[in-house]
Amino acid sequence: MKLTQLKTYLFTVLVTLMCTGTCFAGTLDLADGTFRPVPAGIMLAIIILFIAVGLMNTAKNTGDFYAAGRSISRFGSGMAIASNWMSAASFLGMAAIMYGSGYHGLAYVVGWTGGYVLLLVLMASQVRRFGKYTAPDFIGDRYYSTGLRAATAIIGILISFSYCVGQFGGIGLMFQWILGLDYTYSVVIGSAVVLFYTMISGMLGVTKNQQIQYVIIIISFMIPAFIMCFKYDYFWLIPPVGYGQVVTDIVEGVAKDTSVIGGNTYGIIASPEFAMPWDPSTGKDFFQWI
Amino acid sequence: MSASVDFNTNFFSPKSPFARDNSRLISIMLVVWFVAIFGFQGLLKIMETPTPEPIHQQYEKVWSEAKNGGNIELAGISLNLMARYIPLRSNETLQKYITSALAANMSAGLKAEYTAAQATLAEGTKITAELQSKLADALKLPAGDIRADVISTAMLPLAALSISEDNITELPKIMDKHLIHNRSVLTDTQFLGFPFHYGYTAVFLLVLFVVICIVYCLVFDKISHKHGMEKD
Repeated sequence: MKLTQLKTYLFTVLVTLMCTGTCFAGTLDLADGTFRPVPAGIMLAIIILFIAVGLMNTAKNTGDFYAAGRSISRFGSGMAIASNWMSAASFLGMAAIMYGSGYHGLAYVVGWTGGYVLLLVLMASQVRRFGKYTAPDFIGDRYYSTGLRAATAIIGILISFSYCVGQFGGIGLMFQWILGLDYTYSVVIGSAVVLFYTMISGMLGVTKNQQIQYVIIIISFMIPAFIMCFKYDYFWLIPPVGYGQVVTDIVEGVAKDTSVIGGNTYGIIASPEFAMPWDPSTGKDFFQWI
Repeated sequence: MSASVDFNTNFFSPKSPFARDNSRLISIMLVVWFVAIFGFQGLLKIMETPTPEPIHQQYEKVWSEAKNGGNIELAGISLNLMARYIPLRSNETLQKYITSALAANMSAGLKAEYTAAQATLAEGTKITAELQSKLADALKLPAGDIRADVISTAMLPLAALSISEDNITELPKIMDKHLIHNRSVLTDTQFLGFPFHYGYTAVFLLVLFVVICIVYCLVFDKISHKHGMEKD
């Protein structure tokens, strides 16, 4: 009961901080060199929360570390998996590539998400039925080979490099905005902070931390979507549906003098290239999509 | 290793009833996944036709007489491209056709104002709203036209302005590249406000992936239970 109350309290404080923080977000100019105390405070609170959750859920063995001692519900597991998908690369990178490449950017969304289906169907359930948690463990025990286990682990690490490049780029941008420092220093500081709390809290309970991360990330994803759909008079209750009309408006254009936001008129030049498949103007083609 | 445990399985020739059911389930899920993604994109590719925008047809009508510059309609189309594509705002060919149209349609007084403002653009200053409005009028843009906002990016010095053979060769390529799009009934139909193909890929496919995962887990549990497998 005490732990549940504490979790509820922490969650409420966190949501309140995030909603309040968006009001003090200030300018989005990354290079303006201004230290932002409110976002920095929110970030610090979140890091402390991660470490606290990790300390409250100390893992005693491999089962605890990977599967939290079988105490995680299906919904909880789903939250942990979803937090892997939603990251800096998703929030910043996906938005940027869809802005720049239009329909072609959806190839990355489909690839990323469709890959989870392949992972589940082809690997995850088979590996778990074998009694293992990771691919190197499975390969090593299946083929009785330490060399193969090491090779699989090395390949996994190499693959994670390409993943980490996008993530650390996003971390650098975020710290640059919060601390007002040069991008290079921001990457170093941000990486050090992430490594620190990951080592402290991640080793103590991966799944629990991922659940907390999921809650934070889903709120961070949804708040801007709600606000922008509401502000531009689209269907804001369900933004993933509401933005359909946004895409159509981009394709067909919006006259400047008929659209008013905050007393200012805005318009959109008809830009079919944004939504049409493998448009020549984006420099992308069908083969690249596939 | 106990004698009853045999890890030498083959997905393509399963021996045990459980392995057969498992392989069948995995195959069905993979086929659904593949057809939903690549089947639709293939259909999109088969059905598409390169469709020019209305302003491309406008450009084709005026191009033969506008090749050497000074044409207001061509300038308006060029401004449209510059407004939509940020990389094109520094394209010299488009800038020349727009500037030549301005030069042919400005009064002497406006030319002097233009020259003075153009000279300061390199220092990062912006042109005044009043001058922007006058230049938009010179190009016969409607009041409140968004294209007026990018006129300053197209301003070149009036002196020694000439359309070269390279510009004449380059402009049709720019127009064809940016004003012709792959369209079909799948892109022109709307669903929940989305162009259908966009909504299918961005929303439906993601929901389908979740459904595939749920169905796989439920069916796999049934298969495991049917074959007496212990719950993990």
